[in-house]
Amino acid sequence: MTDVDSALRGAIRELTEDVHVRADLASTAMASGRRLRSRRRLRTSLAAAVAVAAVAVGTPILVGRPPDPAAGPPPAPPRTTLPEAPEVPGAAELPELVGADPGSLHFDVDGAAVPGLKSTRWESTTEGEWLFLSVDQTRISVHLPAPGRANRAARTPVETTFLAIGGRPATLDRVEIASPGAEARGLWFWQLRWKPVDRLEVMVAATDHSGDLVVTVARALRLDRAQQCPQPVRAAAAPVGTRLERCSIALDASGAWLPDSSFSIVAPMPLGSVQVTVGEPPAGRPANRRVDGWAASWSDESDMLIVYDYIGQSSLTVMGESEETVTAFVRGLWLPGDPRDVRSWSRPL
Amino acid sequence: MTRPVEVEFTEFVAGRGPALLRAAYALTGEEHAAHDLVQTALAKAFVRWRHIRTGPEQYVRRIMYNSHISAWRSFRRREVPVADVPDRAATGDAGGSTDLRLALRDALRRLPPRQRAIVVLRFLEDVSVEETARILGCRVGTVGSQTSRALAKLRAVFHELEREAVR
Repeated sequence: MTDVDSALRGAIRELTEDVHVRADLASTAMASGRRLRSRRRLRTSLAAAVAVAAVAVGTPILVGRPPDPAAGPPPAPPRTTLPEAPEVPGAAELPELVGADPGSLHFDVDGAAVPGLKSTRWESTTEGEWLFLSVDQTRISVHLPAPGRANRAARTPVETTFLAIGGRPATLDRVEIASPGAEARGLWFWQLRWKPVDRLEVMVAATDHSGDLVVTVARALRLDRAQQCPQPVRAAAAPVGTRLERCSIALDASGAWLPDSSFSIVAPMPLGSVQVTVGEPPAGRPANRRVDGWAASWSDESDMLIVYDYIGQSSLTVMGESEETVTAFVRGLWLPGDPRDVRSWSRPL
Repeated sequence: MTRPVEVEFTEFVAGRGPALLRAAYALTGEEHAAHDLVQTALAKAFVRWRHIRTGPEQYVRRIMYNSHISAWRSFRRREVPVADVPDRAATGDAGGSTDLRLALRDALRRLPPRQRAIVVLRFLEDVSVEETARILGCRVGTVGSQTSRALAKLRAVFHELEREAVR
């Protein structure tokens, strides 16, 4: 073991020395365990009842079955980065829509106006909407908070510049970074804030040598457009009352899926909360069963089902309440369009 | 005569809780998140307490580490907003140990979850390579290669601090 390794070992131990166990850890864990046991018993009985009812009424099972392409309308020419959300106003027109529906994003970016753009990641939740851009070696975040969830202010800036974005006043703050060596490398945290319209705040931020990039991205934003958050799979058979909580997708600069996308739903019991990811599967989990012919892996410890090579080489990872409910959920998924074409996909729910 | 599960469980938490919490803190980097992680693992273990064959600590640890990796996967799409600037490090003390600790904490947080789990198991909990592989459900060779990669990243932090110290 080298001196550095010894120092590391000592530092990791020192790091955790000051952590103290709460006095009620055992009692709260027992209480949580009892609730968990009750829920599992309830789920088991409800799942059995649902299964019997489904057989009785002949519930169709849709597995990876795309709809007939001839049945849909002809594709519209691309105008937005993601599939357009028809008849949905952009954030500038109706700020109250931000975060109201995680299946939509109420803004877009003109990628051609951001030189060096490599990829974008879009995320919509009930708390707000995000866009993360990779430009050369820099990561830029764009955040539109939902109404009532104002952007958290960063620490006191060392410098503030006043400028205009779209004719509206904006502030560009330069903030110190705590990371070791950042100052020596000339790196600062830059955050640009402005209100394009009343009741809508936008923040663009990055760690960079100058604030030029955040200004460029801010000027490339299109707040008059709305887009869908598309997913390669659609939860068409989700029970009535299911709601979408979060939706995320990543694209490269050409608009192709990276591939990495995910969404979360909350359904009535017994399905409950479900998180779905399509992309690279977690490592180190060999297949231990088959789901409708697909090699799959279920883990009791993490309540996670992985269906390997579900779309090409991308796997489907679903976390939920139990193997029974997650497997039934997976059987209700179908592919909404051409797996290679994001623009043929639709929102997951 | 069989002792009540509650008594056994409470004794187990009193004895092993601090070690589990330290590992959880090293994994998550936050005290609240560490408590949540340990409590979730303990709750799952409590449900199956009478049926755990491998020993409760090993069982809880396995749940804890795998839950951490799974949870990270489910939340990683929400990249940490760039605006969340970490608090500035306290003024460096004479030996630089505060700077080192903060730098290490940040460097640990930046490691991918499995590498972080391996570093904590091997360097904090002194778990063997074979046992680490068993806990994380991966091959022994994977533990070795991931350890090397993690240490290379952490060493870079040390060297950077060393360079800054002589400037």
